[in-house]
Amino acid sequence: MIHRVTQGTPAQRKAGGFGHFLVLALATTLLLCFSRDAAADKNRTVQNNTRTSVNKNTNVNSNRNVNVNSNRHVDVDVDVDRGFHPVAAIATVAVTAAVIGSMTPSLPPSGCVPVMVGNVTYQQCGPNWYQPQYVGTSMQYVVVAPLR
Amino acid sequence: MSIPSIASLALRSLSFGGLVAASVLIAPHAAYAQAAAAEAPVRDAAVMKRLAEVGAFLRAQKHFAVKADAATDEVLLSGQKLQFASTVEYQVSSPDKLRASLRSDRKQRDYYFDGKTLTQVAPRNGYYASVPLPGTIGDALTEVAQRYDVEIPLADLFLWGTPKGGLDDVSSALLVGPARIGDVNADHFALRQPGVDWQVWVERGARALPLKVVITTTDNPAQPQYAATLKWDLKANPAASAFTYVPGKDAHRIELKPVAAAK
Repeated sequence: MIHRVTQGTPAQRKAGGFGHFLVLALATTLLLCFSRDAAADKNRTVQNNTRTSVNKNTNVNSNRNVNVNSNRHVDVDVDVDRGFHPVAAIATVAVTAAVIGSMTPSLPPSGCVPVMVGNVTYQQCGPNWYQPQYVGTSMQYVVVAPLR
Repeated sequence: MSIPSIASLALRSLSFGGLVAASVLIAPHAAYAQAAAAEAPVRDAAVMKRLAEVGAFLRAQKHFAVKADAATDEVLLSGQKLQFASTVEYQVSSPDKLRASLRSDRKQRDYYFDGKTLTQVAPRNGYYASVPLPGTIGDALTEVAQRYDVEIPLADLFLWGTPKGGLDDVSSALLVGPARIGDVNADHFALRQPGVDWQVWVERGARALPLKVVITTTDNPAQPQYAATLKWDLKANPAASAFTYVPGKDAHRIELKPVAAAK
């Protein structure tokens, strides 16, 4: 009898089967979403060279050889904070491993706390530590070795 | 009767087209010479004089505010163009105090420059960075662009009428004709120089103000444009406190990464 309860009634078993199917479908959808996001990421990368001043003195992009910021994601410049999280940025973070020294344009959507160490602002997001900095007018978060 | 006449007309125009094609083939050198004459840059002295007046008038204003409504093209790697709207508001106390507020769907930035320090603030997340940059507004905007890759739109407004005005770079200057921006009579000028074609609509009369600016980036095959319409307030007199950033309780100071040394 107890055995039967854990197995569930035929109706419950059917529902369980359907639940499994749902989970599978969801997982597949998620996988598809991520792979699509990776493709979309490429499709949404912008060249960073539209000039907003005539004067060449204020336009370094055209005559600079080293340009860390020459190509950026169309959503990179969204300031990710205070509950303002574009979906695209979340997807980008989810697939980015926190390699020390690497830069990411946005932090994980939740679980980050600002920490002051010395005179420097860091963001601690679980095991990963980030040092926010401006690269030009854009925010970039540099992954640093854990400080605690 | 009408149908054959149309057919004969078409035939005649075809043969005329053939004749033109033949004559072009026969005299290609003449065609080239004509095209070259049409493309020779014209640097209208009257246009350059009016642009110099714009610079002089701007530099003569001690205090003013200006708001620009802008549209900026962004080019995807595929070459597809997107357009983003933004506004930028400047409060100015010449020669060395500037407050600028940029607002777009993607980005919000505030700039404070008090003649000694330039501060970039992201008001939504409270991060700010300050760098020492002594000098005039034009000096500071040039330095911050070259040393930190921070480009503040329409920096020209603070460079025209100074030795860094850049009008010597103009290779072609044309008066397109009369125009109206809002209710104001203006002249529409078209200019070319390495890297950009640009257009400026200048108010007629003593107030030599740029009312609209369109900048086309010509070294990108997609030729993205930045277009801004400007609203001037020459009676504005911003308070001295407007130019110095005072960090709030939630503000965090961060670094502004210097541009890597060019090879």
